[in-house]
Amino acid sequence: MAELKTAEQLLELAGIALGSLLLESSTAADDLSILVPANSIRDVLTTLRDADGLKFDLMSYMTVVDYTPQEPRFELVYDLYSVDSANRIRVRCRLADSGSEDKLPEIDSVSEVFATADWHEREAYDLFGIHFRGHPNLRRILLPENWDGHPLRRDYPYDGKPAWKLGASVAEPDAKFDILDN
Amino acid sequence: MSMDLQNLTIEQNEPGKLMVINMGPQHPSTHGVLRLVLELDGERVMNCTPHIGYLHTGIEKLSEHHNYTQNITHYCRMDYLAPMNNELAYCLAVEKLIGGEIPARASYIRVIMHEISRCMSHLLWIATHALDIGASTAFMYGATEREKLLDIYEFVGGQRMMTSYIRIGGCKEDVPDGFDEMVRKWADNFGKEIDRLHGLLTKNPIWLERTRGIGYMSRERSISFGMMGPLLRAVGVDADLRRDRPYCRYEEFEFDVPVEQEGDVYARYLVRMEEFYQARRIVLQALDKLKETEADTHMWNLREFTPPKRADIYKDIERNIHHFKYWTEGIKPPAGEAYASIESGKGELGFYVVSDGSAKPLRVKVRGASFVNLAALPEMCEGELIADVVAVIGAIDIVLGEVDR
Repeated sequence: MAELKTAEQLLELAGIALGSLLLESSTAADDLSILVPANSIRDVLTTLRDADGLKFDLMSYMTVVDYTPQEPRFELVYDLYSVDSANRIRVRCRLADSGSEDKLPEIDSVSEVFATADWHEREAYDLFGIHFRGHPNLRRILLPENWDGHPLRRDYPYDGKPAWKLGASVAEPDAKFDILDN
Repeated sequence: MSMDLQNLTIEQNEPGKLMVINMGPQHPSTHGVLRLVLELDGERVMNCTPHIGYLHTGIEKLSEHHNYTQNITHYCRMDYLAPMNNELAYCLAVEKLIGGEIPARASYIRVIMHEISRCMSHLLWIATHALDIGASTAFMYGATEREKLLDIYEFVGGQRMMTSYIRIGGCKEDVPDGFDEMVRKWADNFGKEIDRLHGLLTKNPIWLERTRGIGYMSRERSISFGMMGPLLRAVGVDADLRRDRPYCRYEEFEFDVPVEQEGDVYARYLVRMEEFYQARRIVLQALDKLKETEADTHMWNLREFTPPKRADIYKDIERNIHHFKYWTEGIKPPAGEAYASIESGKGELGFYVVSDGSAKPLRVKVRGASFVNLAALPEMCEGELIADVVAVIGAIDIVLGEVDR
């Protein structure tokens, strides 16, 4: 078992491996978190997985945070873990909204680098509406195929899109069958 | 009608043509509402497509609209087979955000409840896994033993499930009098009960036939799939978060991490069975350590992040106000992000919490072990017989509440 490194030691190693791709870093609460450019996320994760001394070979999870109304709006978070040394690194990248409802913001898929990214990216697509380029099977995972919108975005209403409110008259057929039919 | 059926049979039997069978979401062996679409060549599974989301309740969305303390209530409903694991992982993440020291007593209580939760999770796993494969006796022993643990849960947290006992900063209350004796009484007998399960299954020729060489995963693919916990230890990887990244003072405990090399259903079975004994060992050590700590130190003393004691509320107006503000406004951790994870019975259970400095989290991501492990199901099933699919699902040990969230 290799030794557990401090966040500062890891940052130094990551800095050597990534070079100019490492934009910002933070070591708050002894968690190393780095910011990298969105267009090189696949290269960054491949480097971190294979580089000597780092070997972050297991991806714990991947997720999205919606920072509306900040710009750029989305931050994608990839948490990597090293099975041999038990070190952990959080890789973040920022992604701007596309500005229109029909076009989703895009980023490269990393499902070839880590097999577990497949489902995590499907979940991010489903709940946040991020399009992953090169994903083998990008469809909704938790919600039905015909769902309208992406619920974990901050502008998606908390109590859902208009359906029935408690005590509302449910007699109108349109309101009742809208969700099921579309 | 008989003519139609005949045609169907002939057509389906054509060489090279796969038969599509839908399994679930009501199938009892899918442990909830998992749906699989299986493409079969004879009895061989050629393709397996899992469909999840039937139990999706939007817990992550709800989390953004409730305050930090209220959120604990959502998370015990995720992995409902071991509710306190979820509470623990979430509280660790929020405590990391706040950055305070947890008293030793609270940590030891957490360790005991954490290990008891692991046993609860594993007991239900062995019970249903054996039942799926056809060994119904093991179900009775597993369920009986689990009842005793649920009694401990009820004694400590007031309920058999959904206790919300582990709170930010410690535990809701100190353990009641008689806790020590109750847990020791259980532990005295527990080893013998697990020996009995071993006797029923471990060398049982039918059990070996059904589990050996089934659902194989390689070391590389398991790591690539992000598996942790018993599934990773069954492919020869010596990894355990309790030992490698200690939380709750796990560095003070002595325990072994069982590792098997084969990577099949039987190896996963052996790893979990050994974890019963190790959990018991840790519980007994924690009980001894608990005795050395002072009573009633089950919460940290950060006033801003701790509710006042019930008895104090009526003594003076300040604590009355504190009580009122704590429960109406909630706590406000500093802005930032934190990730904490624990070694739950099913693998790595983690919470990624982002705070913007208000009383409600900006984002909570739940890294559920079952969600990650289930993604590897198609790879484990392909090429196996259809009857073995239930054995493989059982060995992954999923709980759909955690998969769908």
